[in-house]
Amino acid sequence: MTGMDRVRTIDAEAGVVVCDAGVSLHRLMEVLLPLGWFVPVTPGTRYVTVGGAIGADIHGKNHHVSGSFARHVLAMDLLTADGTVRTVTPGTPLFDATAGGMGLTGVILSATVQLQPVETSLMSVDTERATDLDDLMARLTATDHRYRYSVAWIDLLARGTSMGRSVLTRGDHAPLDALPARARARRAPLAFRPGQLPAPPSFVPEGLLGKTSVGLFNELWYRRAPRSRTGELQKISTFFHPLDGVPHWNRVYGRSGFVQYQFVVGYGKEEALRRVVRRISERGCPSFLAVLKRFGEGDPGWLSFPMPGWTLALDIPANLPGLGVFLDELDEEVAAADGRVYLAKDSRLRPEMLAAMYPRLADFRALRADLDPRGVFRSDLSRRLAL
Amino acid sequence: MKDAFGTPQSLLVLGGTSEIGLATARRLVARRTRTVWLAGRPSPALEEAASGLRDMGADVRTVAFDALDPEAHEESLGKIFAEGDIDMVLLAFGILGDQARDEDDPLAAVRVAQTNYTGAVSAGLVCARALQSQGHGSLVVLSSVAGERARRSNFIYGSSKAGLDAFSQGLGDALYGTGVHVMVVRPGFVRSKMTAGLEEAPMATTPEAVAEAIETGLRRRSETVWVPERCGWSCRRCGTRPRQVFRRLPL
Repeated sequence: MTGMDRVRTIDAEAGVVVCDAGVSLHRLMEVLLPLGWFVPVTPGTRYVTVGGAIGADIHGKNHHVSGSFARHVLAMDLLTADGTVRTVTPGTPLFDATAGGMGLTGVILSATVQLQPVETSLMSVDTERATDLDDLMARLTATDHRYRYSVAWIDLLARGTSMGRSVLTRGDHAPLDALPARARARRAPLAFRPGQLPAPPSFVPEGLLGKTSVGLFNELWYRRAPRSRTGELQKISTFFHPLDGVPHWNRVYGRSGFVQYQFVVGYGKEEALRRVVRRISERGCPSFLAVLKRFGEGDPGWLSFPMPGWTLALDIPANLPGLGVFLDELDEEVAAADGRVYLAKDSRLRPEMLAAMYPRLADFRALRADLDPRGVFRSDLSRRLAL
Repeated sequence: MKDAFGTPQSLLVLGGTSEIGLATARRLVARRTRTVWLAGRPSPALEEAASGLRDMGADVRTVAFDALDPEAHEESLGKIFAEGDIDMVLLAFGILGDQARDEDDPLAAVRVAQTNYTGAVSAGLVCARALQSQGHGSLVVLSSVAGERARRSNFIYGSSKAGLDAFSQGLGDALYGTGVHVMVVRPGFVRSKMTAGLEEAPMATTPEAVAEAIETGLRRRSETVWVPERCGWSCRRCGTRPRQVFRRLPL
């Protein structure tokens, strides 16, 4: 789909872009930032397409304020299994099935997206440390509403009294007058210059990311962070997409790669979150990219992931012994707390778990049976979960 | 569809009463596998194997299959694939024969070759085509260390497994890039009813250990799996010995 990469029209007054579905968020930022606009929602990487963003109904650090990506889509063109192109608008069943529908309702060809105005391409960031999971949840609950963007990096290897210690980074787009009077950035406040580091070599030995190395990394990461710092100016790429600066970063996991796991449990189910964090920490899962975030209101997509509550995302080396069984047990905890796992990151969920996690699943299946009776659109995910 | 750890949701065992086949099925059913097809000659043992797996919660069906009747393979195996995707085919049938007797009874020796080799060629090709048209899946072939280098004491069986091994490697290369994965498993001496009464060879293993190695091999998408792993090193060493020395070894 990345062949369909044309940005068709930009309404620089209203902040609306019409583009092909294969355009990446990176490309949109390159084009839109100089005009004073930013994508409404960005995940932890810019290298996703607009079509993918709708199909997975992605969320970002601003979910508690802005909701998911599809909430900002005004219309899209969808090629369905019967060969027709339909213009789909919010509030219709087809839109709600497609938003988060993992590409199974058809091929998204183009989309009209409402943008977010910005004065500069810098972020004003507040950083603080939380000493354990309870401290973290208390800080997020108390002050999250003051920030447009909020996320906490969490050390899942820390045990005992420091279990769940974290670094919170929260902020907003820096207004023009927040830039120092003689700063270089004043001359081109909207310039978009993401830096890039060299890629890891193509062969990395297995087991580089073990408990020791990740534990050391986490320790340094935690101690390096200031106890409390406000108003630091950071580039968009530093704040949102730190991993995009390292091409092929996934290579550090070696040949067997890694699996991602992300779940959400509702407010009031903090005990389930604590239990899961404790289990991960006691087991010693070497995860150095775990983040915790508070979600806002749920989104209309039938298979959209977000719901009001706490979401934890982690990456784990796939060759960890017994990982499959361990993640199955976490699924049970999450499902028992009426939570769900994120389909966009899933590669191992059991199909039996799905209906409990996604109550609109039956509607989705019915719509698909109607729209695509021959099963033209299929994926490994749809085969595994019978979507 | 297999998950991120290579565990299948549906499994077809060719040779439904094979101890290694059933040990693997039990292991996979305990993890993820929900649908199991046991293909074999209709017998009480086959039904018993099916009900054992059913007790573990799997949806098990048996289907009549005879390695010595390749004309029927297309039809009997085709029916299975028509019912839905098969994530993994385990080619587990084979007979050991009796080397000493078979040397004097060429027809019995041919039966070993027909079961282990030509039967597997036919079933393997039928399954490979079906897997390729569904676009995913693993074909796991039970070869043997006996096929690595023919030994005086069991070269009839060994030669049939050598043929099967070479066939499967070539098939794996032919299917590379199609989404279908072919894995050749070479167990050493396995304690089972097939080897009952035989003198145990060094590094003897069990059907459960082979099942575990298969699960690990699926996760790693291995192309060759030795059971136990160190068997591979000693076999490779054996393989380089000069003929004059090798034939004198008590193997």
